Amino acid sequence: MASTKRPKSSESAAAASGNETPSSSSSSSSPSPTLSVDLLMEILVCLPVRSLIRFKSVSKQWLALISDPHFCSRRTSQTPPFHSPASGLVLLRPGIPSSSPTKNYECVNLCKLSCPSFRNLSSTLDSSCTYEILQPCNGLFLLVSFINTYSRSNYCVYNPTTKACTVLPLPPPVPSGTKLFLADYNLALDPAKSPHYRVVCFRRSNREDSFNHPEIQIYESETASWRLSDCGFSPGTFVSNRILFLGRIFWNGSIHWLHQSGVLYFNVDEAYVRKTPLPEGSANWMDMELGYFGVSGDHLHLVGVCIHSWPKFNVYEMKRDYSGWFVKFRVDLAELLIQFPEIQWNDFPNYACSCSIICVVRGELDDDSYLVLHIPGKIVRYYLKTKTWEVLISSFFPFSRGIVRWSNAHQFIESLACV
Amino acid sequence: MASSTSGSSSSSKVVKIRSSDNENFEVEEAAAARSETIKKLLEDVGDDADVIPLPNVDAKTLVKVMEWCKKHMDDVDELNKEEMKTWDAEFVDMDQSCLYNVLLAANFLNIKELLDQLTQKVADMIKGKSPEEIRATFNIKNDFTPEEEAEIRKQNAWAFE
Repeated sequence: MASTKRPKSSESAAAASGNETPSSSSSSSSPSPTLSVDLLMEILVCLPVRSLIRFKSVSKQWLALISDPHFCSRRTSQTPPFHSPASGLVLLRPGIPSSSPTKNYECVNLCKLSCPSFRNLSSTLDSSCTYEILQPCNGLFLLVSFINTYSRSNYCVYNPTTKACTVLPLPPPVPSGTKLFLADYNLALDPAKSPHYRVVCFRRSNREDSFNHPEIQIYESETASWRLSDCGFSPGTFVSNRILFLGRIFWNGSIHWLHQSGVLYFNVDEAYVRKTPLPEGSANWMDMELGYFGVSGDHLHLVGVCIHSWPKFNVYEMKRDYSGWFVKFRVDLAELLIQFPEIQWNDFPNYACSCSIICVVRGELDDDSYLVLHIPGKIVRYYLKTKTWEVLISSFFPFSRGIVRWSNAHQFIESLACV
Repeated sequence: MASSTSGSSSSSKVVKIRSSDNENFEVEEAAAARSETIKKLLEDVGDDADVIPLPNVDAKTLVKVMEWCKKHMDDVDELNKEEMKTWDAEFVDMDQSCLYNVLLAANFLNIKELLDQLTQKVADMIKGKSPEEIRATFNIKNDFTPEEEAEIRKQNAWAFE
């Protein structure tokens, strides 16, 4: 044979490595190809994110390749996390007053593998700050940090997979003489379209027209700067202050909020605001906090719970063109209630169920789709098609009377997206 | 399969290629042209081409690569997609040293689709491995100090379970 170089090196590799891994199927030689960096990159980009994180400790070269922003962007756009299910659910520990500056989080594993810890973000990030999760978006988290209770807050974008965190610069100040009433921050990342994220800040000041026309500042991670968006909110879109806070769901290029009479959405690319009604019959819903509003597997879901039809309810899905909601799953929890008699409705001080839907997770198949429920002291997964369930956590703050709401449950999706 | 060879062989041109260990092969041009490298060489030399030398690919590997090229010579219609997927899966299921040789050849010959299939195969083979196993597989020297390695592993402990 004329070519001698390659076989030689693989022989020496076999001699050097000595004990082979039992999984290896090769018989005589352990190949040690001298892979070019380009070829190695082509292999690495095909690997699951979890493997890549583990392989950071192979060598300095592998660490550098896997941490390289261009590689991370490419890997992120290759398999958009829209289509990768959440591997964990980060829950705000129940029973802590919302005014408390210290937020404690617990991560519930949804896959059989473990997730990074969210218990102490301060020790991971900056021990002089406390952190609150505002919104997850396709693997990245929008956080607000407080140096102490009274000082001003910072907004940060955090990737829990890579542990990278960027503190956003402050948006331009409001004109002198005006006072800022409200600033609401929202994260937008669509890895299938761009590796860069945006943070949209809606600001309302005491200027006369500010109520109907909040100012929209958009932070672009690509340029690391803020710009004023020229979208004019149409008057009457905002009925109350409350709407800006229920939801914050990024899907289909828009940020969505839930409102008593519909869903409002702001399209980030085209800078317009539209409204779409709730499903028919939703007037009977007790309170949206008992239902669910969120995104999974690139589907926007809405669940409304009504005491008269309980334990039956529908999981609705929005059509991509916003032409309406359709019933994706019909749910009847009757059998589950037999197993968990602790699920009760209390009528004081107002109708409230001791159980909450904290997430709707879509699998590749409908059979793999499930609800995550908080039942007093437990976190339970309920499969929507097979109507079977499993207890994910059997002792979840059993002495707390607090209920985890969907707005305090954040999906952890493995991602290399740069911050 | 039989119809495609008998149908096209009469009309299609045949090119000669030579492996690094000086074996000559006759391959249908349409198959050989799946390689951007060969295609470019053919365009450059035109009809005067005698034998195209491929100094980076040995005969054993070249046979394997051309097997793939022949199978992927024509556009696949919808009906045959599933069959093709099965064929591809079986094709990449080869022993490791062979796999890496074909990978290097596909890279040199610039056959994007084959390269994608092979890199995915390698990725599937190594995705569950530990860093130690990766070092053994690719003959990589651990150049971290024990402290550096411990720190990186601590930071990413969740990915090791």
